[in-house]
Amino acid sequence: MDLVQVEIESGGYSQKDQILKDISFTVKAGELVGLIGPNGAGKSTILKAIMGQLPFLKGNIQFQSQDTHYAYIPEQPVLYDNLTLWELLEFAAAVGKINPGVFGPRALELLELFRLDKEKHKLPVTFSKGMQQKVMLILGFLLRPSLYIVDEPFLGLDPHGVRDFLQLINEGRKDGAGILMTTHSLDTAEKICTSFILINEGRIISQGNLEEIRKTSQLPDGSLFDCFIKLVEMQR
Amino acid sequence: MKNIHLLFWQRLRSNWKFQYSVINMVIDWVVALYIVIPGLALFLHTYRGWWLEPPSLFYFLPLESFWLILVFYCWSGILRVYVEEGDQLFLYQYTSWHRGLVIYSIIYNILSNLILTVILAFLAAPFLLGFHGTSISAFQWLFLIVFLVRVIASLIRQCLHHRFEGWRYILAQIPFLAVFTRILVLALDLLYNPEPYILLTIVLGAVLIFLIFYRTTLKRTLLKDIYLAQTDKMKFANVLLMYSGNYAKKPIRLRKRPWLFGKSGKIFKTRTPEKILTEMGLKAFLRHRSNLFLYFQAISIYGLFLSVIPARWQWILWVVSIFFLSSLVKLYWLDWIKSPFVSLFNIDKDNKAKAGGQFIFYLITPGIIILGLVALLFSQQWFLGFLIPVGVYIGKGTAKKMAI
Repeated sequence: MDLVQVEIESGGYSQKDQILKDISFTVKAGELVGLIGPNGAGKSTILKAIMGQLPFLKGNIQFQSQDTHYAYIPEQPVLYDNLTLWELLEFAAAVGKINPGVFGPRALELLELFRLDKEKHKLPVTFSKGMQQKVMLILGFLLRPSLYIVDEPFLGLDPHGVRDFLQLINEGRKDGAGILMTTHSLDTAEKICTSFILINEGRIISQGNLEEIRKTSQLPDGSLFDCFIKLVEMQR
Repeated sequence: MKNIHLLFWQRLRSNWKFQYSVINMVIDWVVALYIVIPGLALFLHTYRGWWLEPPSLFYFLPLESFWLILVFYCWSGILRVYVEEGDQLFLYQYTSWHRGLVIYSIIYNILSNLILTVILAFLAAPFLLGFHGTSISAFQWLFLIVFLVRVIASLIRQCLHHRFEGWRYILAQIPFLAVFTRILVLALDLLYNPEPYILLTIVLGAVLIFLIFYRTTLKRTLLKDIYLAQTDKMKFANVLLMYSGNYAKKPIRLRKRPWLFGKSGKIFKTRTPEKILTEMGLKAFLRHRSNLFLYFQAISIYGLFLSVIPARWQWILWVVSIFFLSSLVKLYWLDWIKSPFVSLFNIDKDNKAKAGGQFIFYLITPGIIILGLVALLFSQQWFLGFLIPVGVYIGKGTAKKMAI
């Protein structure tokens, strides 16, 4: 079951400067899709296009249904400076129409998992970057949507945080959620993703599972890292 | 940047440009032509009238209570050091440059407070010189004292900020506020017996010199100076920037818990989406002390304005204040609802509109009541007291319309 179908003929931040070209992929229920590319390749731009935030887009983004909800976990933590952690969660739950009786236990469970339960009445803007990143993850997982759009989740996370994030991702997948994730951490992506979309200079250079990527890059035993480097060089 | 003089001058010019651009965004030629210029003309005409025929406020306000205005004026300023967030990269190592910026900021603070005090003296002249017949030399000495107290207070508040946080900072100000209040009351008492002014001026001058020396030798103040500079810079601009749909970066924060609702306490018992949206908006507003200050400052100025205009205009302009307050509070609502965090979420339009209406209504109601009481007190048309709840009802409707 396709949670989202992405068909982008071209797209960018200005009419003249079209960053994306001929992007086409889907995210299915239960999939963890790794969107991989060098700095400036257009990964975040693709995510913005999916969320309807890209000013210029020629193409179509089709969700499974009108009621498909997604959670966006940005690369840089975005917080409101005058609200406590608990209040941010309560706000997200209210907007996501989570029953107040369900919200409390779920929020506490996530806070304990990420070891932020003692910080719940503090202002997240005073947290370290890693802790703020955890807050963004908690906000995303609180809503339990059918689609997760995650931008560089591993940046700033400690090893426990990475483990907890992966645990939640797997639980989400078991519940039928799909995850689209951008990352530079190719070793981790190779271990956890079910399929990959490799992009460079706004175009897809290869997509599919690891076997298909290896076939395209002509490296039968290559790691994702080696395949990616080879494909970028081939494109040049 | 070759030297500290050029750096400070560049910072100052950049700040003037920024404040001017913010005002420029809001006061376009339409606002200038239809509101600002006629408002200025009306003010000058009213000011001239104060000299010829004192308004009712002058009879109502005894000279001895003028100290309230002086205390409010003196305690409303704070020294701003012209540092920026990027200075963290360099000024930690080059402390002499930081010290130079502090010294120049103090000099600028003194000069700008001198200009502000002259403006206050200009406004107070009809009351003191015209109505109460004080001598010009006593008048000049009084405002010299006021100028010195204001500069000293701004330095003291800055120094206290470096020692204390939150409620401790508020408590620490009380003894100084009490002392300055006593000084200003004494200064008013001396209007008809001005000889001791010279001694008072010398003492205050010595205190000022000591404080300047103390402040310029304080160490490890860069981070706090940056926080205070950002807060001061955005105090007025933040609200006006929202009007033009731009989001202004918030200053870096040092306090871990909010000073209000410290344990995420609830305002509303009912936990519907629009109630929670309203609650978070209210908390975001109330926890920002500069928001509260600006709000009450707007009410105070409007109240003062109501108190000096003829009685026949007071109730009419009180009704106008409902729309003025709604427009002002709407800016705070936009600040909240358009913030990058809230923009991450897809909020139901109906809930957003309901929450906006409630937010605006809850915040304008105290202002409507306060200004209504001012109009009642100064017009002395007690039978019109029933208009206050009517005004609150009008405020509710206005808030709903503004939120759409």
